[in-house]
Amino acid sequence: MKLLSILVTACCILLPIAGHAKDESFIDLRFQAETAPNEKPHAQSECTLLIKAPQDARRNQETLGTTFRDNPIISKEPATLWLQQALMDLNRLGIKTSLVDENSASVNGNLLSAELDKLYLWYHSMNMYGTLVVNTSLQTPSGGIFKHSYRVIGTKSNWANTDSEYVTTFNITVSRFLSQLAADLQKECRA
Amino acid sequence: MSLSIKAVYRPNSFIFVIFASLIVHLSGCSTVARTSLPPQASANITSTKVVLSIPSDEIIVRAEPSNISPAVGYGLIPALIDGAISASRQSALENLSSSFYDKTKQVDFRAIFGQAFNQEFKQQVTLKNMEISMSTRGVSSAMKDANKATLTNDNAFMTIRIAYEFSPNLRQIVVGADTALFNKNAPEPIYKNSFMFVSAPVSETAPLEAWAANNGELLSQAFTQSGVELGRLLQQDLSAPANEAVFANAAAKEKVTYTAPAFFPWVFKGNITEKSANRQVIRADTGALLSTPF
Repeated sequence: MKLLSILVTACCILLPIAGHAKDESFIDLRFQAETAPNEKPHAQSECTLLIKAPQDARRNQETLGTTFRDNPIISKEPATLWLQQALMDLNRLGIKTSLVDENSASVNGNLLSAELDKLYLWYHSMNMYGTLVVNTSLQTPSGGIFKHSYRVIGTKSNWANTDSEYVTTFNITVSRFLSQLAADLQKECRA
Repeated sequence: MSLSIKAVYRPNSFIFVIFASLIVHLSGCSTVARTSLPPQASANITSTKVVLSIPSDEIIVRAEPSNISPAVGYGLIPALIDGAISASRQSALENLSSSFYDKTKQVDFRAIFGQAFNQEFKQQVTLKNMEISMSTRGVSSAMKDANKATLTNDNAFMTIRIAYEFSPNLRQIVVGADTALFNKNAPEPIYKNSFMFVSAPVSETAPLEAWAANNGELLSQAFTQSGVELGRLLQQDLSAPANEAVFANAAAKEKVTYTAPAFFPWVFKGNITEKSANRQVIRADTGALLSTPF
């Protein structure tokens, strides 16, 4: 029992230290919707959307901020792939989505292009924040073009500066962006 | 439980780390921020690789922290309340700040500061064959160790870590620089010091609008001025004599007590070593240098 107590104590002490002993934080940036527990399911709308692969327009395409030890936070996968996964989740918000075939000559339907402008993590008080800036352009079959620039922050309590917390913060941020985008798309894709 | 509390209170912002280290040096809480560069050591250096590290992608419009935790003596519950209040204030600032960001999106701190700083700092003559590169990464122990491992007996490696932020009332811009110079043999930096630039304040009524006016004209000017000033101060300080002489020279000048307009408003003491029409340079009692308005 005593040995078990010592092991548990050692783990409690060493795990946070191990979390900070790295040179770089290579995060597994995968999209997972972060929604309120009481969020109601969204009714499917008539809006259907073809989504182009997002472009990376960030000035700093290398890092997503720094950790407590001033190590860079780096995504293993391109951040635009994560944004693409997020955009496909507009399905959950009532908008039918499919990826546009880059090779097809013409596109019939609402075409959404997105450009990732900024994505980084920062800290304030005991919270961590994600900042996301995305520029979008929606082209409707009738020839209408709707352009928007979304700047969104998402936040959560910072418990231990872990990689998974960084990913969760980014997912909270992009989920907020999706809600705003979906509201605009519902209006514009029928125009 | 104590482990959780420790985690909550870990100062986890790079800005916090840089400014806290700078301010601690400035405020006299620590011993001496400055290690002077020995003439013999600089004479032995034939080339220097300088990394100008600027990880922050843009200036962040931060809400004022609630500071309930310090008022009630810290603890997990006050920390959670602090976090919730800060998050709520930050959310309220979101709409206000989005217009600022829209109007200033072409203002790139890295490009503006980097150009101004390099132009000024390149004029220094203490370090021979200096090669400056810019990095979006921070200055971690691992980065320093990796670069030190590549050094030979006659070259050196310098880190210049830059952090920048608004003052809590958003009227001023504060730019901090933490510098360290390493050679192959010494375990500690052969030169180090901390520097701070504080801009002149803008309009009290609508500071964000003032910074953003004319596509961020004032913001660009402040960024440029910070690069020039910090480049100039570092250049001067590299060739300045040992601490004893530096402190003796400063002591003969006008004494000053200055409160840094940062999120942690530490008060520090020093002497005014330079004065122009609207700015002053202060040599803090710890050796750090500040360029501030007055």
